[in-house]
Amino acid sequence: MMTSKPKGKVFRFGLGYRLAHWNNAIFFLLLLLSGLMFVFKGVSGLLGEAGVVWADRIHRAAAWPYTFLTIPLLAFMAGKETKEWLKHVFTWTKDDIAFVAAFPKALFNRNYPLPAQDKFNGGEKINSMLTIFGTVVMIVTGWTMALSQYLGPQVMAWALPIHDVTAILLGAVIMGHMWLSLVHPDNKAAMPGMVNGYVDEHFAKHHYAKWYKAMKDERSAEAAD
Amino acid sequence: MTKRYGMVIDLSTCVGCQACVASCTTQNQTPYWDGKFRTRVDDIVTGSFPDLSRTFVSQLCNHCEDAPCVQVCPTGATYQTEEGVVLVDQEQCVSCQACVAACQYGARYVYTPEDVVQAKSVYGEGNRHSVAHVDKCTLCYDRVTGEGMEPACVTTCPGQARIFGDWNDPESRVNKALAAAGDRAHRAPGSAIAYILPAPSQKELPPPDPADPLWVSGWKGYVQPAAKAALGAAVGVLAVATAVNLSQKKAGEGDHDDE
Amino acid sequence: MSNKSFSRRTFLKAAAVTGASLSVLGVAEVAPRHAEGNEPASEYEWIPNICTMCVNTCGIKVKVKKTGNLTRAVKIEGNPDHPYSKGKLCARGQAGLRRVYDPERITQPLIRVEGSKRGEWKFRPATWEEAYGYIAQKLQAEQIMPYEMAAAGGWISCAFYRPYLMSFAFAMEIPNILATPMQHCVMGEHLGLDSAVGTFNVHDEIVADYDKAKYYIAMGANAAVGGIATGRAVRYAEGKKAGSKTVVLDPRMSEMAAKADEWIPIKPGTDVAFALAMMNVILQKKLYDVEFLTKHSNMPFLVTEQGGMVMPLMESGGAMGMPKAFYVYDELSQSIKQIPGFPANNNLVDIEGNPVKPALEAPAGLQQNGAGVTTLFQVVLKQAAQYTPAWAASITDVPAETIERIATEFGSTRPALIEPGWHDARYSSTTQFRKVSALIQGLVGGIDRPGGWVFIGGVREVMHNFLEMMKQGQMPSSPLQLPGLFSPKAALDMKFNNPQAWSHGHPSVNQAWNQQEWANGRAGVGFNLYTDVGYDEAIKGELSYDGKPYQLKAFFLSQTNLIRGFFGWKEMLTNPNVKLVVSIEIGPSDSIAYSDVILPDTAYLEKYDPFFEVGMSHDLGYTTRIPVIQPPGQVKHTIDMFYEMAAGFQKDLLTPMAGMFGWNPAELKHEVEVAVGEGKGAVYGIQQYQAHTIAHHAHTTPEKVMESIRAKGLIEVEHRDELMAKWSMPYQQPLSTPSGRFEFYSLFLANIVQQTGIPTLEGNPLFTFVPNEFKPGMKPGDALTEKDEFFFTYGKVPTQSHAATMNNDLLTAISEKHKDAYYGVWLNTQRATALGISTGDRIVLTNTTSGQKAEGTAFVTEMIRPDTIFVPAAFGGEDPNMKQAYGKGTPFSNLVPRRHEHSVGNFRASEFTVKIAKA
Repeated sequence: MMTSKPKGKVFRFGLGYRLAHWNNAIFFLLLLLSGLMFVFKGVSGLLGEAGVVWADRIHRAAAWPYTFLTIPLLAFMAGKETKEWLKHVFTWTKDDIAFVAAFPKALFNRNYPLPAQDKFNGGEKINSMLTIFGTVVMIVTGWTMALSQYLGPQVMAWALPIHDVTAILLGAVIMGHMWLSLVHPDNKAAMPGMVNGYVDEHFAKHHYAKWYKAMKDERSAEAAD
Repeated sequence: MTKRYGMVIDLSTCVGCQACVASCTTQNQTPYWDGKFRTRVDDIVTGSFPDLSRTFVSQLCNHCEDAPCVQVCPTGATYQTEEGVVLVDQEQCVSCQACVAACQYGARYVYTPEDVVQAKSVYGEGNRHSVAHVDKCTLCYDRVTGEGMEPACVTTCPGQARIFGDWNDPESRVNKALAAAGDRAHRAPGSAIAYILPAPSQKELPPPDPADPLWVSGWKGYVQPAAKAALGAAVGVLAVATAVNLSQKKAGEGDHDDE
Repeated sequence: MSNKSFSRRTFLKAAAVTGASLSVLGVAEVAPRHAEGNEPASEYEWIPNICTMCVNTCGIKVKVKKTGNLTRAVKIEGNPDHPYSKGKLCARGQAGLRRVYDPERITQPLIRVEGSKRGEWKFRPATWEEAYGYIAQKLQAEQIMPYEMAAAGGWISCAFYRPYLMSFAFAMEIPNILATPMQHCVMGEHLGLDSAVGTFNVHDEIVADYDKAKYYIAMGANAAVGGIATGRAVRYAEGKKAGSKTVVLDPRMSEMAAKADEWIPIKPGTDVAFALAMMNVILQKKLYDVEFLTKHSNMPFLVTEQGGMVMPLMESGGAMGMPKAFYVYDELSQSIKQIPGFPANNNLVDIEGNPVKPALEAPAGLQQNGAGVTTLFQVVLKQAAQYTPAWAASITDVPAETIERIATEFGSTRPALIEPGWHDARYSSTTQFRKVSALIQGLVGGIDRPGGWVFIGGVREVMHNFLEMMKQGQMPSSPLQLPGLFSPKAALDMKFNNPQAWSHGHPSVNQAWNQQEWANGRAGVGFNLYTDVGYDEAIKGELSYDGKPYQLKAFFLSQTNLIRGFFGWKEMLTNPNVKLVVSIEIGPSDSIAYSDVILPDTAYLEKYDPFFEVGMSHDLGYTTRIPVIQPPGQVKHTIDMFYEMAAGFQKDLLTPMAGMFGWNPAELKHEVEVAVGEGKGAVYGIQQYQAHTIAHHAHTTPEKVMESIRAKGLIEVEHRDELMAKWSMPYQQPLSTPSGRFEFYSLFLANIVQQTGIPTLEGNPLFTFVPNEFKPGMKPGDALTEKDEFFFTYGKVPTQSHAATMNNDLLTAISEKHKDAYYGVWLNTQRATALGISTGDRIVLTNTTSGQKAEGTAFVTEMIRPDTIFVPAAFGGEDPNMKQAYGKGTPFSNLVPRRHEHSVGNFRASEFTVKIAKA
């Protein structure tokens, strides 16, 4: 499995896991953009009548893969990695907390030292947790609204505000997430991990020191065998 | 001065004949086959035999000044004209029913896709309802502005219990009727529909004053602005961080980091 | 509000631009909107018509959308130019489009399938030729004689086509006409009232001045305003806005009672006692209008009283067989004077032209020809003295003080108004009750004066024309040219009850039955015009005339719902002796299921029509119809069917028609032949002909007449104020009573009693208390004692009232929203609780006398007397073909036994008690 490893690269994410990420990312973004008019009323004016109709259709269509594709991908194509990810996300170490505490300063200072991290750093863990819970909330409230004709208008009284506010918060989360992966000069190197599964060894070493070390140790152990 | 369209309903002369309901239905081509109407006449009975009172209370959309239905509409399909008339843009409405939940007057319902099909056979091709949407009283906006007629429920009312006019015009029939009613007049603040009570004491007869339901006021007043502020703050932070990070030099090859 | 749609669009465009720019900032914007399809007004046209959803004949305007060759009516509005309805329209009128576009419309002739039974609704489609052929063949095969046929017209005939139905009957020599709502309303309720004021069809001849009255009492009359009669409700609301006081007597809190300042839940069927006590108080307290009574009523007439029989002193030999002179005591000369009879309208001049001051009370001991005489006023005083408030209290369940107070308020307020009434064929006492109502209105002088009972324009005109004819020594050529009550009386005496008027020598079944009853020593029915009395016997073969059987074998029914509106007709129409039933109808009804042939009729928006007087209007004018939309399928106009059927029998419809109206037969025939030749139907020719006669009348051209019809729906001739200034009755013209005066003692009723020997109880020419017999042995004032027994009442709801409204899906949808009250049997909470009945429970109603049963759904409410139930009358459809009406409400006609009261054959439809049990 590791034999075809390109030079100077470290394997980080499997295919199923990546597909799940992109499925979620693409449809979440579609939902976010098509749902923008629902939160910022001015947008519907910009879109015009046809725009609103299409945005509504896209929103309703994107809800299907968003709801029903991510979990099967994670479960059936990346079972082991998913388990590992979930274990990581819900396991918090002193280093994670220290990372989160130091992060605000590091955001404005490229040279601010951060504690060594495992496969997922504290920030990624927060991102994951928000995404997991946020997605569940969005799915439940979203489908409640979609079915309001059958459930009665009163469900709108909780489903809509929760959907609306959660969407705004998730929007903020994804902006941070995308900023780090697309804009931040030192973090852009993370992106290939989600594209082809590999990241620079250098990047891995610096950003996920504990994970890198554990991986190296494992490799050494294998070699020793 | 802009107009503020509205209505006075004289409960002392409403004979409960339902003409307004029927006239509204045919004017606005509403789905009566589903028991859905834009206006209704409630039959309110109080007391016990023989000390009774029976009053017919006409009800319709209140066209509230700061209407909760407008606030909650996610697509902006529900809007208010400059004359204060709350309308629904059929094309932009996605029938989510948030407005239905937000309206304390029961003035809204869904014109379903099945209703749209039925409307073709009842009202003929090219009727007013070509797509599914949430439907409600328009104070006959097209009829008033386009044809120069009063709303259908007003024109037909045998008891002349429905009076239409412009609240911003002191000479308008609504203002005159309400002024003439003295202590029987009842107009809640922010309300386009006022009532003339049969007797000054019968204040419980008209529908409740306009008010946002708690979920609307809490959400639109506090929670959503807070969330938007958080989002705005995030954008701000990232912008600053971008500027800072791009202007900074990386301290050698050394370690630093981020997620 | 004069904004054009163009300015709105401009505004929206501007808003869209600014909205778009502001939207970036999250400011709520206004985008181009599609609130509702707002098509340009140029595609639409408003065409006037006459509403035909109930009998009120309100003016309407219909919005028509034209797309290519297709026209579709999209909205109905009241016609603001209409003087009765004043631009207003009730729910039924508004729902008219669903009558016209009823998916269950009958659009081609139907013939009952061979081997099926009447009532089963097994019909096959047929062509007109087949349908007419079937009728002709049946009449021939069964050798049915003209007098063995009956023509029945419903309320649409009553409102519009009565003369044309009569022309058909006359052309065919059919002496039997059964007209709705003669027994229900026109005569069944109003004979007593008519006898005092001289009207025939009071609803069409008097519209009370609700808007100008200061005090209004409605007794047994939810239908008049709340029920709803739009033109009356409009005036009532205006009066109420102006501060008039309303008192409503009704055992339940009806729509009308809901509007009352004072609601009096009177015991059912006792209104006559209340009214008599009112009369008593008004007389005792001298609250009457002395001038009116003295000048324009027969109160000062001298009368003798022998054995309880009152008889005015009079000289016979006047015009048209009416008395030539009456006697009064003249206060000027202190002597008895003769004053002229009809057409005199006042008592101020004697037959020699000398002024007279008639005394209301004659000096004691006054004699004429050796007999003691008094004034009628004195007799009235004496007769009324027995009906004290205390007496009435024991019968009506209304405290004596209340009766006295109401009567005093009424008598001391001017103008005060008592409801003339609407549909009241409920009790034996009805004729006397409505008579006393009229007498109360007369006591306060509220006849043809603002705030009182005001005649419609046409009544004055017919009287004026009649007087002109009399001056020239001419006689009218048909009863239609006679004013008010003279008209039906002449129709009876000269035509229907007169065997010589028919080539076959048979009077109507009604009259043959009367004669059979008299021969058997029983009372017949006094005023039997257009009634169904005797029909039962004639169908069963139990009637004979001139020693031979007189049977009814064939029926032509024109939009009449006999099964629902009359009693016992299900059995009658299924009797094998009935060989042919032809129905003219628009949509399914309970009755047409009992036909052999159904002929599809045009609905009101689809037809040309003859001209009619502008209905129920104080103004004088004419109206007619021009088609708003194309008729569906093969429907035809009723008059065209009459024309074609008569022609099929080589009979001429136009000659009797021309005679009836006094038209030129040759000119009429010419117009009709041209119209038929052009394929527009006979009715179009009639309209064309009348455009000329009306143009002549209105001093204009036929083109201008039609122009006005197209623009306003009517052509005005004269307004109320002008008419009241020259033709007020009885101030400038006589009333159409035999004396020309307002009659407290009715010569008309006296004549009927004398002619027909009916009991003087129901038909009393003066006034009297008539005790209703709710069950054998029950006395007035007796309370019901059984736990499950109730008085029975029925009445109208505002949304559905007639066959035209019964199966209307929009009206049904509205009624559904109020279904407890609209469909349900009203039961007082306390009584229902004792019986374990709650709202929504199915219950069985059983007539305690006849054992007839009907089912219903309970509506448990505080809004009704504990001893009374109420059933909304317009429901209870039993034909499953009526998809909307079937199974809703209670078929109350199933509870009412077939029987007739003696003065006019009213059905006594509430004069029984019922027992209630859970189904």
